[in-house]
Amino acid sequence: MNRIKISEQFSDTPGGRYKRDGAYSGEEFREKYLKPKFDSLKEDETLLLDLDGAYGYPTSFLEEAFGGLARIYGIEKVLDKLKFKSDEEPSLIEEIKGYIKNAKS
Amino acid sequence: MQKAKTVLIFFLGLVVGFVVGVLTITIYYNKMTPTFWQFKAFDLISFIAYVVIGVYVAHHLKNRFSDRQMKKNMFVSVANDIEKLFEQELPCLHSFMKSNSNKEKIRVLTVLRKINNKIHILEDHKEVFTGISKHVMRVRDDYNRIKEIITGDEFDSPKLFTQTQINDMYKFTDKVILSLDEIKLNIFV
Repeated sequence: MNRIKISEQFSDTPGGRYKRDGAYSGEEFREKYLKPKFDSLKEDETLLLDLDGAYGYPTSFLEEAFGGLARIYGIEKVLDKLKFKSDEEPSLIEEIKGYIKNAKS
Repeated sequence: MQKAKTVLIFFLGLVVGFVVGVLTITIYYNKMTPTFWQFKAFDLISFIAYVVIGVYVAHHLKNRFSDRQMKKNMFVSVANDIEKLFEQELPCLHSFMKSNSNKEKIRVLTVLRKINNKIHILEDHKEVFTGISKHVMRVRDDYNRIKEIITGDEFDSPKLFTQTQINDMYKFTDKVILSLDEIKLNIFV
């Protein structure tokens, strides 16, 4: 199972949008964790993003990480390949899917 | 008061079932036979069946009433919780936007998550009550605007929030509270 638990593997206090804004930004997460994992997926594989354990997720972090990935690979492919788990804040999943769907290149 | 209402509904259903049973048998006997008081086994079974149906209807009505009442109370309680959270945490949100300090970052994220989860509870049950959905959707939209203002591009960046953004945060908070009040008013209509 391809899985990233953000709070354990990256940070439990995700930051802002860009690396220049400070540590643990959405851009940093996308480049260091999300994109490499996404690139390594085989055709029939998916990647599970476990969102639990963090204090919360800023809008800018989520948009840059997931919307940014959709700008690189396309909306359909990202929606198809990424799965989300968020027991602690269930509405986050719809929020992230919204950023992916509205990602403009 | 609430318990008294449900007990009243239950007994009302019971009485209705009983009266319907007696009336039906009376009409039946007046039409079919002059010997009204000569009960046959079939008549007794019919009578019992009517009473059982009456009890069942009364029980069903009572449960439905209690369930709706519980959900109404839950809605009001969650709406109050959200209002309280905003009232308590507005100074923290304001101070964070004024300083963009890392110290308050965790608290801001935690508060927003708590509010988000409370709104999610309202969304989960909004279809049960007509006239409430649009207010819950407004709460969601205005909350999303607040979250976007606070955790948007200025979050964690060296840039400071502008006074317009701070004013907008207050404006949308007021709108959320107004919609929550509408929910509390309309749910009992």
